[in-house]
Amino acid sequence: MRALGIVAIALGLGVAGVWLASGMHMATQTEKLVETRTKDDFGDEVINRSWEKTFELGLDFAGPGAGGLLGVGGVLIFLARRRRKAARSTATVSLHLDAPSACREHLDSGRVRGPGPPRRSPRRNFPEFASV
Amino acid sequence: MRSLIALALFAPALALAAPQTAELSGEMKFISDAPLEKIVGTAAGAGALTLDPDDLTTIKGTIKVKVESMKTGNDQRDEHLRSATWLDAAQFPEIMFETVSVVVTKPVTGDEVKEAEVAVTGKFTLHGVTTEMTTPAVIKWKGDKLKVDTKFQVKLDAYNIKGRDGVVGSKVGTNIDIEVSLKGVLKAVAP
Repeated sequence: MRALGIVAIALGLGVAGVWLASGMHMATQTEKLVETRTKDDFGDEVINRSWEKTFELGLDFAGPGAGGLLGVGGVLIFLARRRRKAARSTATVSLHLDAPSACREHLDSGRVRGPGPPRRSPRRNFPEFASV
Repeated sequence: MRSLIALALFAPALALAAPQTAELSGEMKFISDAPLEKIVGTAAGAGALTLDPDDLTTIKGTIKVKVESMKTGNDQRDEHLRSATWLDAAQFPEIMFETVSVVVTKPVTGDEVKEAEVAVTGKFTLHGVTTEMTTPAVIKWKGDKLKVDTKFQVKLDAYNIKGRDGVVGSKVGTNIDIEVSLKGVLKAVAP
């Protein structure tokens, strides 16, 4: 879920980047005015205009697109964090209930945080590493 | 014989001196420069002009632009532009300028290419509202080729174009800059 959230945020930032790079239009341009300069019968420089098919992303699509992706990404990351926190506390509780000694050992190792006995440095349990 | 040769040599000049008419066609470019967005669009223009090179104050002409031909590079925006909220193409299909009087601001100069600057006063009709407007124009002709260039500004409010609430002044400029360039071929006026 966290990975999906990161992907969604990356895509949202990408959409915003494309909008910035394509001229920050309010409305999406489906055709672009191309001006070419030539000389006319009078010897004047004239501008010949033609419309060419193009796609320049505008805020009408980029806004909801980028906003939606960033929002979804944020929500997914938030949910992933909450789920992980919930999983940690569940794991701690189950360790306490199912295998008190294993749990204590695990907690003492300092690898699991959460409610329960205060954390200790692994060095206290393994004096042989104290000199490292 | 000499007089015949002289007549043949000066015939084109004599022909140009008489009033002539030209069917004009070309393009109109319009620019809306609003704080949030700059819109550049084009439209096809057409018209007719009667011109006496010896007396440019007698210029008479009409220029028409079809609202349907207006393009801004976004199909949805073009539809909005033609809708009743904006230019209402169904009810007012044409934008029109009709000359009333002409004042020469810079007399004719040039040998091969003749050029003059004029101030044209005329009736400008947009969105069913007609106002009198004076606009500067540059007229050039070379042989039978004619070119008319003009630039002016249109205030949307003056033509009862309101648009959607809050759009004019933010996404659409209150004033629209218009550039018109038309070309045509001069022909002698039929007696």
